[in-house]
Amino acid sequence: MGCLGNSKTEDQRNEEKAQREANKKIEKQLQKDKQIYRATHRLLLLGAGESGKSTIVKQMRILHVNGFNAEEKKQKIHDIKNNIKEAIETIVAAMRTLTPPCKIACPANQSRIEYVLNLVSQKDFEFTPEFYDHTKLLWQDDGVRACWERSNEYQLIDCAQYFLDRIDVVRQHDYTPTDQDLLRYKVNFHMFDVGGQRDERRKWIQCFNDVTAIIFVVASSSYNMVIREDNQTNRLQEALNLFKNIWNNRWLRTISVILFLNKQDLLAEKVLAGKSKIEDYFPEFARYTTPDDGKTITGHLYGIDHLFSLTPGEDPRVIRAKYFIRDEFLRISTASGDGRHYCYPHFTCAVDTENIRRVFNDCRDIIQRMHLRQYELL
Amino acid sequence: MACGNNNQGRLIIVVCAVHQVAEKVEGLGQFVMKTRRTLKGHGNKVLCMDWCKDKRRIVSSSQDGKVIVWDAFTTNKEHAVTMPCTWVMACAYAPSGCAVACGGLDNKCSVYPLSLDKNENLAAKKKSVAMHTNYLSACSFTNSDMQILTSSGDGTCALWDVESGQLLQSFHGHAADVLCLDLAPSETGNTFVSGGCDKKANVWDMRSGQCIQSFETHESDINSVRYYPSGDAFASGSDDATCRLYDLRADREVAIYSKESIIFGVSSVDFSLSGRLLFGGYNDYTINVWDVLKGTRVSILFGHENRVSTLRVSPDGTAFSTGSWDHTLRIWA
Repeated sequence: MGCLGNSKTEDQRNEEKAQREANKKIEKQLQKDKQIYRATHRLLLLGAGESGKSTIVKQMRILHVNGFNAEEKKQKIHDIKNNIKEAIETIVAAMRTLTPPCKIACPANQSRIEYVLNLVSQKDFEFTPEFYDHTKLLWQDDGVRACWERSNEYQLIDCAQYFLDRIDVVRQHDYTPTDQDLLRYKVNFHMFDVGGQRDERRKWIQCFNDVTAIIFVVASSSYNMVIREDNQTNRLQEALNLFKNIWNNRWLRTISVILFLNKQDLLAEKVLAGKSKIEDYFPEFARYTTPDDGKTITGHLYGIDHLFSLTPGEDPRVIRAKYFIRDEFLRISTASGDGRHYCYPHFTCAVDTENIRRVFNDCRDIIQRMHLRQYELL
Repeated sequence: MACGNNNQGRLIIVVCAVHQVAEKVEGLGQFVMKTRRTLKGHGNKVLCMDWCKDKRRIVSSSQDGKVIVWDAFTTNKEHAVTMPCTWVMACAYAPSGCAVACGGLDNKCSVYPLSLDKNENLAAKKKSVAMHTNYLSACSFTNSDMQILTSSGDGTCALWDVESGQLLQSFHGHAADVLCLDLAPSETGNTFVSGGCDKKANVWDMRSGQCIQSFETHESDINSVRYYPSGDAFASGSDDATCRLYDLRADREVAIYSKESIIFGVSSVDFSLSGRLLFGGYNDYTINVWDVLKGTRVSILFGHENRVSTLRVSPDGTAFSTGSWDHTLRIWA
């Protein structure tokens, strides 16, 4: 191969240099992509046919993009401003610690660098015009930019550039974040619907051993229906079997499941109509009593009682029915798991946007926590 | 029945197990193989790889959606593409070296032309070729860049025209996911072999779409199939922890490569250039090297820190490459 110094021609040497540079460029991009990959929540969406999965997906997509109301938007302003502060602090600090270090281009900015370095230690920081002026001028300095370009060599929040470019907008008293602002600020969401894959899942399910969570959708109202495939198996039983399969799958043992007990509106209708009795399909229902406050086999797992706030005026027959179905699933999840993963049930009605919004917000916190936990372990 | 092998290592008709016939064959000497290069850069499990015909370049795909083309000798990365659907379970190099194909849980096989202009955006030139109703488990170009053969979790294999994306032939016969395929060496004509979750290995006629031979001796999913260099036989690797050799003219299994101590499944197999050695990548992170004729294990190689998911011998036989769930690829020689 001719790795003996002088025997290489000039052309060969140039070619090798070009290859090394191309390699470096690709590696830099891969690093950036890796950070995005880690910051993205990947969710696996599962559920038997006609469980309402697609509606849930549609709702979640709408909420994810337009999800914040005016109140929430105001609260985010402070976070966005903090993003700017954090971004400039990180970049300035990195200028000294990188090898080779970055120097500012304009000497007049040296005092601004000192200002930012002092910010970190300030206790009661307020966003003064002075802060915005310094930050903006630093962001325009070529030396600071050079440091930002090397951000793959240190940890910098993804939205740094976006908000630093918009300092003039954010500093205004009447600033209200646009949807684009909120999208940037938010974490990425990637939901994967495996509806197209077949039941023999042992091969492709291996690919999901590192998703953040599984969203499992069940049509609670289908307790008296049979599946299309064989016109025999009870649909709710099928869902329970699928859930058990997923819960105990060797590749998914550390993945928590967010359980959507969907079609609550249809369930309520059926129960109140009284024509189709649950105990005809699930004999255990005859002996079932409604738990108070959801503090039964599940209460101690997460103690988040507000998840089960009962709709005022709900008929006790409906309450009994929905909790029975919920507990059928929880029986499976509490039977195994060893604290490595949990099941978080929610009562949903996919066509009710408010209900989904509430559930979505609850999920966001849970998912965020799961995600952090996952990467702490790595 | 006549038996033995000629100078080219071709297997001649056997009636009994290969190792009995090969008793008189000289044993292989001791040899040492080790990792010569480690290719780092993937951010998640490496699921598949393939060599370029130039014996130097490799394409690999991983669970985070990255498809990377490497120079195996210098370890430089030459191209990197991010697939929109991150789970890329299969990839293949075009015979010309000018394109790569890949796909996975998106149920599709897409072809990317590799441009010499490093600044060009590869992703923009992507061409969607194959469409299955379930995940793509394997893909391979035929003798030219014009056609691609795919296997899928939907239980079928299919032959596609790359330019138009048209389905040229489909192959039905497996009762479960098809996990792997291999094309017969060009001298032996238009056939290929596939292996699946139904424990069967099927040999197909590419023109008629018919299954011409079928073998069902494995006890679990067949993860990998590879033709013997002469094309008269093929090897398979399975979750039942064995590799097996099937002779096409005798129409039966003629060897099993297994040991009591090996209890983990085989993910990938390939032959050495002469066919005397069979390399197997295992789920217990090791590579077992088998003497194809004698049926004994010649060597066990360590190095990967997680499952070996894919293994291919280079076109000139001077090295082989493995990909693993530990995010790396290794070149062994």
